[in-house]
Amino acid sequence: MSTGHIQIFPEALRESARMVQRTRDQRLIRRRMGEGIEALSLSDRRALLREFHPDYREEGRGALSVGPSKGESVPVELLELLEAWPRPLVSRLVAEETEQGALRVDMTTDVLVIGGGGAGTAAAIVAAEAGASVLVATKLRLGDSNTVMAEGGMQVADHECDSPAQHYLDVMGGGHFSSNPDLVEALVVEGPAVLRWMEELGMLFDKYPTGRMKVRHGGGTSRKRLHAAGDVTGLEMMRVLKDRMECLKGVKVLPFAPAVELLTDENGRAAGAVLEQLPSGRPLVVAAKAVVLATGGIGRLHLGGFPTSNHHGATADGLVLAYRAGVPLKDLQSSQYHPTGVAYPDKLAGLLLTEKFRGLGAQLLNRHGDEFVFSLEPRDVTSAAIMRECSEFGNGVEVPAGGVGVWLDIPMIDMIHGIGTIEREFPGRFKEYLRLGLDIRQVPLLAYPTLHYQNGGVVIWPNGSTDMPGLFAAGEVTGGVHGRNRLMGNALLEILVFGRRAGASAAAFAAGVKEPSAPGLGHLEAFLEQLETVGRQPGRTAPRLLPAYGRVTPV
Amino acid sequence: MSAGLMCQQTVLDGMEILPLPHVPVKKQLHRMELPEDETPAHHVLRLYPEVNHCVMCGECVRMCPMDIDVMGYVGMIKRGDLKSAARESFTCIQCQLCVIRCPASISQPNAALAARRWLGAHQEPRAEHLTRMVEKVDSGRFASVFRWMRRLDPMEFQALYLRREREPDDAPPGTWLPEDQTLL
Repeated sequence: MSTGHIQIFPEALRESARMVQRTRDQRLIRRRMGEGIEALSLSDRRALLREFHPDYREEGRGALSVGPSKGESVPVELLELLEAWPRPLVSRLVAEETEQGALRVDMTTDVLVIGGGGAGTAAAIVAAEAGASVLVATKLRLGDSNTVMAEGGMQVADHECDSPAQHYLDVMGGGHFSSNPDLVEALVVEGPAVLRWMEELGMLFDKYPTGRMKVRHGGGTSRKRLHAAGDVTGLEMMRVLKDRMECLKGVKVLPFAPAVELLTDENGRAAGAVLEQLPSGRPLVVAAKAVVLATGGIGRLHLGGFPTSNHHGATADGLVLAYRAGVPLKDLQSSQYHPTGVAYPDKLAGLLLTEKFRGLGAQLLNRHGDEFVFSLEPRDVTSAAIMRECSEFGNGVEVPAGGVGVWLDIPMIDMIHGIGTIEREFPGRFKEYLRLGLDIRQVPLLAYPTLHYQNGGVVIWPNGSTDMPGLFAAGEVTGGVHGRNRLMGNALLEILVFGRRAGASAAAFAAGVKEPSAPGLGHLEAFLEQLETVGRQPGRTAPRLLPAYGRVTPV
Repeated sequence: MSAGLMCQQTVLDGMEILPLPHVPVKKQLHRMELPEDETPAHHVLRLYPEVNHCVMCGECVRMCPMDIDVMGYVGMIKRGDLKSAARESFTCIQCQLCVIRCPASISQPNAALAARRWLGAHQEPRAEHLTRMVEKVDSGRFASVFRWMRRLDPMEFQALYLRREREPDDAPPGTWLPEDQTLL
């Protein structure tokens, strides 16, 4: 990095950037000699997490006072939504139902998939292939989801030194032994099959000329098993899934139609959903024989005021819908903070700097240019270490526009693996930062943990079913697969494995429903009564659908 | 008036924004089944023959928010070079900005998507180690290992986790093996 490149930084950052440059050669030598900072022991991990990870603090969370998971502690931002009233159009439908004895159904389908990200699309494909008619209702457009933003890769145990059992061990330990073993076993055992599925669908993974998959380490892995497609793995996956789905008969997509309430029948079975058409706000009542919930996560609630790497639709809608229908939730007190969200350039604050940068050797450095943590600890541990470095030790770099960060020394990658590696392995990010005048082959960037993933969610069984007959769920909206901490690359695997399972189970369930009964909103009555009992007044409504930023009025 | 992506435009005073809700594009439905007498490259050309109508005006390149050489990859598809087309179009976000300006009515993103999928499914070599692993899983090879692991008490299981050997970062692909192979 010549002094010229440093000039792109504002004055306040230049001195520290120079330190990074000055220590780089030494760090490269130490790395080659295997003398870098070592991974922490389990007890040191625990101590670090207890003191510095937001999950382990008491403030910012509260216990649910109603519903099937009463007493469970969740973030206050989510608590507000789970203990809220239905949106006005649902209240109007409730009145209509009481008046006329039944709801007027606008559309019917065998399987209704709520959510158009990776899990929803995988579910729709499998359900349609099984012969069901499928309707995919999505809040924004198909593919407008966290899936397309996934950069680093997908974990699958497929090489000679690896096995699903080894993968299982990594997932369980990375999740601090809190995952549901049945779900984890399903996840890792089906990994090779879904990787083959994607390969057959024409997804382009990084490969050697012989066809062997290129793999690398992620945080907390004992084998190199991250399969990537450049640094646009999720985008490539979504492009292929979407194309596959669109080439199938029997799938219809409804964009800009978020689900705002589930429908149930008198047997307590999921029987469809109420959609709110954007931007008109008109309701659309969809009757379905089975419902797949694949609404994704929670990042745009900005828990604890954190920035987020999530797309704009990640507002916990699915959790609200399921909870009001009586389906229990779990592990929602724990969220994943990705260690390297962007802190500078601040224009992109909160967005992701993929873990693949660290997988290829980029180190995390404090303002003196010194390494302070083994860069491939499990994500929560790395995040906690960054927060400690910036708060307790005061070694963070102040960003002029506000906030603080640590350096991610990306240029090291070219020095370790040869010139041209950064451009080849990170085509998306390379271009993105070049547009902002930052050549990541030459300059490091500033990173700080960003709210990335909802670890918990709707309780599911290995076949994708929930506690409510006819309701299936897959992807980030569910809980149990990752326990209290997810390892990199297991979410892309999860949406495929459980998306497919939920789709298959939903199609099978729908085929068994001979005479669908009238869908209604009866399940709301008991829930709203409880809300009144604990003194929650109508006024606050959920789901929120879109975050309320600036002066924009959420629709 | 200019077209661009809302997520990339800097908002200026007095700016008026007009969303384009629909962009008509050509989309070929295909089942990824390659007829015997055809090459993948030939098949992609059959799905999107209008790439041959490119007049090389370069509007697509000018519009592309991802700085992709769209006209370049259209030429590569035309010449049957799927691999180069895939590499050039790899960061395409399918925003369709190139489509709305194309005087030859080419659906560039969809042609590129077909090029990538047909390349991946029918031209690139399959991962043989993956085939072997799928067979191993299907043969039920790991059932007993899982039964054994899941019966371990929590302390034993944690000890197993701590004993993991870490594959060296620079181990050449497919060569390194752990000393303890009970889980393989």
